[in-house]
Amino acid sequence: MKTYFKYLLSIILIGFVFQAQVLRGNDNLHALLDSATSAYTKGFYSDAVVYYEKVLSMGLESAEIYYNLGNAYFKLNELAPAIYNYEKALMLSPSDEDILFNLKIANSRITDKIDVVPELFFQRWWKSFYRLFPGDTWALFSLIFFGLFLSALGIFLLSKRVTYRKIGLWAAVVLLVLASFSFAFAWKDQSRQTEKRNGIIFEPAVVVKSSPDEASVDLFVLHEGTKVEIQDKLDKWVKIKIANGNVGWLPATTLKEY
Amino acid sequence: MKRIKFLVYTLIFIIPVISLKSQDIEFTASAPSTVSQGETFQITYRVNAKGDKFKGPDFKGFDVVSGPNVSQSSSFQFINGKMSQSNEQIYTYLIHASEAGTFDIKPASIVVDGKTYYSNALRITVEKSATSSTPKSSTKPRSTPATPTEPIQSAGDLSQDDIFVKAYVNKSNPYVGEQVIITYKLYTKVPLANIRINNLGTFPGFWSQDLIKSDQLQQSTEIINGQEYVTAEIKKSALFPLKSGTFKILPLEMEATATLIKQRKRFSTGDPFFDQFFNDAFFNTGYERINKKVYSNAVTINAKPLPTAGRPVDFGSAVGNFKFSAQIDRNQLKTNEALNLKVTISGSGNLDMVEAPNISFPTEFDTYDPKVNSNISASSSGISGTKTFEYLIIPRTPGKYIIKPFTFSYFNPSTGRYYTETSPEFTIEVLKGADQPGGITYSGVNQQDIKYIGTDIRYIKLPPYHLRPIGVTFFASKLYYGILIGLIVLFGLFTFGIKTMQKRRGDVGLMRLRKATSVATKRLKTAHAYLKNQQEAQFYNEISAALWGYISDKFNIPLAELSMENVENKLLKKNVNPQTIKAFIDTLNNCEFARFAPGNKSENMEQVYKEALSTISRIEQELK
Repeated sequence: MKTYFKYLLSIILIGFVFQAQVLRGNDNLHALLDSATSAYTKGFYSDAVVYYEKVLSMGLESAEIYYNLGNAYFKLNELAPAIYNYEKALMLSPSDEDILFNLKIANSRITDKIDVVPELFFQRWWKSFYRLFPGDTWALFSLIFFGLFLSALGIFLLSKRVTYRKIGLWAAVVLLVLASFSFAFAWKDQSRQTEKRNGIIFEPAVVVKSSPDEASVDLFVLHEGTKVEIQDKLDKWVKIKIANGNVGWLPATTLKEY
Repeated sequence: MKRIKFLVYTLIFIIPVISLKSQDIEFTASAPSTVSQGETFQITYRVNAKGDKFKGPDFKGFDVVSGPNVSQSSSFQFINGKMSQSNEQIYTYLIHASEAGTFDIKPASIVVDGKTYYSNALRITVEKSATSSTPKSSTKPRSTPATPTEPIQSAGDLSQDDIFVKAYVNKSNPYVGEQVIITYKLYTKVPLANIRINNLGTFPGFWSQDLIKSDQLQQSTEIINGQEYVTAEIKKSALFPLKSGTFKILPLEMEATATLIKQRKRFSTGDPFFDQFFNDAFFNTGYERINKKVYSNAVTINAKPLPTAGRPVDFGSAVGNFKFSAQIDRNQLKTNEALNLKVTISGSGNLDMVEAPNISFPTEFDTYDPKVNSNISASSSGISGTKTFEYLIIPRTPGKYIIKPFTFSYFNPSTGRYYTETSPEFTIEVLKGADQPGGITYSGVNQQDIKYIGTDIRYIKLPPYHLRPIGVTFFASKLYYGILIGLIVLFGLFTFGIKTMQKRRGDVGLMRLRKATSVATKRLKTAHAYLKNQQEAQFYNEISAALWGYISDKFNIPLAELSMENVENKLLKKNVNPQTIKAFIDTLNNCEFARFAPGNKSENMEQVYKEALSTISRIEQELK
C-alpha cells in the first residue's frame, strides 16, 4: 500500500511536475545506469563509482543514485565519501530503511565513536514525524490540504443550512492547520537542503581548534567520516559542533558540506 | 585632579610592563665561527617566544643537508600565585661546508605577536682541509693498503675525504609496498678503532627491516679517484613504503674514532737506534685518537601509488613476486575429526604484510583462526621467505562439502601488473562419527536460532530511479506558487459567482423570507392598536393580512395563489406539527368568520389576537 502510494506520488511529481520526458528519452543515461549496476554486481566498484558520479555530473540526482554511490564507496573502503552520499540520499528520502541501515553500518566502521547527546522525546517525535515524507511530498500535501480548506470555507460561506455551515467551519479550521503544518515541513526540508548545515570530515585526521586561527589551542582530533554540524563560517574556517555537543573550528577544506 | 593622578599611576605601572615584554624577545643565531671544508655542522636559531612564519636565510656557499627542524619547549611557573610562562623555539639547520672561504649568513626573520624580529648575522670561515689541498694521490705509493696497523698519516685533522659515509638506495622510485634496499657504506682512508652510530637514519613512512647486523662488518677495498679506501657496509635495511609520496630519509650520524700515530719529538734522542726503537709500531704507545662526526647524505625516495587499473577485488597489500599453493591433508573424515588446510605463500617482497586469504568455509564447519608461520630470511639481497597459514577445520555434521576456490592477489612491481592465483576446489566427504547415534532419533526437535554469519551493507537499489535535476524541488518552485495562487483565485471566482447568482435569482424571495416575521409583527402591532380602539373591522383585516402575509413571505408564494389547503400542505412538508397547523388554520378561519359574519365580535378580539401571536411564534420556532 505504502509503495503503491509512493509510486503514485512519484508519477505525479516526476511525470508532470518536472518535464520528465527529457529524462525518459535519454538512452545514454539508461546505458550509463545499466553499466553502473552491472559493474557493482561484478565487483568493479571503482568503475561503478565513476558511472554514478557521471550521472550526478549530468545534473541529475535521486536518493537511489546517492545510495548506490555510497555503497560503491563503502565497498572500496572509502568511508568518508560513503557516509557523505548516504547522508545526501537520506536528505531526499528521509525514512528509507536501506539507507538508514547502511549508514549505520558505515558509521560503525569509522574511527571516531561519539556518544550522542540524547534528544528529548518530543524532539525525537517531531523529527520522526517530519521525516516521514520527503519535502516534495509535504509540498504536495500542503497544496491538497489548502485546496480542501478552501472548499470547506466555501461550504461555510455559501451554505444556508446551519449544520453544513458548522461542519464547514470546523473542517476549514482543521484543514488550515494541516495545510500550514505540511507547508512548514516542506519549508524546513527546503531550507535543510539549501543551507548546508552539516558536513563530513574527509581528511584522515584533523585537529579541531579553539578559534579560527592556526596558532590557537588544539581541542580534539576528528577522523575521516565523522559527521559535524556547521554552525558558522569565517574566511576559510568553519565552526563545527559534534554529536556530543563539543564545539570548535576547522579549516573549511577538511570537510565536505551537504 | 584625582583622575589625573590615577592615570599617571596607571601609566607608570603599565609602561614598564609593555617595554619589558618587547625587550624580552630574543632571537639569536649561533654557529661555529670556523669550520673545515667538508665538515657538516649545525646552525641554530633560538627564539624565546612563540613565533611563526620563520624564514631562514639562503646559505650561500653551503649545502643544506636538512632543516629547518623545529623543536619547541614551553614551561609554566607559578610563584606566589603569579603565573609566568616561558617559551622557546629552536630551528636547526644541518649545513655542509663544501667550499672554502669566508661566508656571511644573513639574518633569519620570525614573527612574534605580529611583529617581525631579525636574528644576528653570522660569519663563518671555512678552512681548506689538508688533504683536499694536496694534489691527488698520484704521488703516493700505490702499495699502501689501509690497514689499521699501518699508519698513513701523521697527526692532524681528518678531512672530509678521509672518512665519509655514503647512503644509496637500489631504487628511488618504487611502488607502495615495493622493497627498497638502503645501504650505508663507510669509506675510510685512515684506520678506525671504533665506530658508533649516534643517530640512525629514521624511516618515517616506511616499514623497515635490518638486513645485516652491525657487528658483522665485511671489509673490502675500493679505489675512488685513484685513492684506495677501505669500505664496509655499516647498515643495510629493506624498506617498504607504506603510502605514496615523497619521503626524505634523514642522514645517518656516526662518530668514528680514528687512530693516528703521533710523532713523539721528546723521544728523539739523536740516536737512530733509540729513535727506531721508540717509534717502532709495536712499542710505540703514541697513538692519537681523533673523534670525528660523520654524516651521510640524505636520500629522497619517491613512492608511487599502485595502479588502480586492473586491481583485483581481493587485493590486500602484497607487493612482490610470490608463489601460492593450498592443500588439505585428507579428503575423507568422520564428524568431529580435524582437517588441516595449509596455504603457502612464498617469494620475495613484503611478506610480513601479506594477509591471510579470505576463505569461505561451509557454515557447518567449525573453523579457527589460522596458525601463521613465517620463515623469512633477510639477506643482503633483500627479504624473501615463506609464509604459511594453517587452518584447523572440524566438520560437525556429515555430508559432502565443497570449499570453494579462493584467491590470492599480488602486485609484481618488476612487471607492473597484478596477478591473481586461485586455489583448487576441495571436496570433503564427512562420514558419521562414532559419537553420533546411528539411527534417526525422534526425541525432541532440534531447532536452532538463525546464525548470523556476517554483516554487510544492503545491496544497491535497482532501476527505475526517480531522477530529477539537482536542487530542483517542487516546493517553492514557480509551479508550486502557481497552483497555490490558482487555488485562491479559483476559490474567489467561485464564491463570487455563486453569491451573485443567488442574488439575481432569489433577491425578492430572500428579502421576503428575512422580512416575513418582522412584517407579521408590525401588522400584529397595528392590530393591537385597533383592538384598544375597538375598531373591529380594521382589527380583523389586519390579523388576516398578518397571517396570510406571513405564509406568503415565508414560503415565497404570491398572495393570489394562497388557499387553506395550500397553506396546510406547505406547512406539513416543512414538518410543522399538525396541531400547530390546526391552530393556525383555526385562527385564520376565526378571522374570516368574524370579518364576514355579524354578531358580537369584540369579545373574541382579545382571544384571536393572542392565538395569532402564539401560532406565528410556534411556527417560527418549529421551522427552525
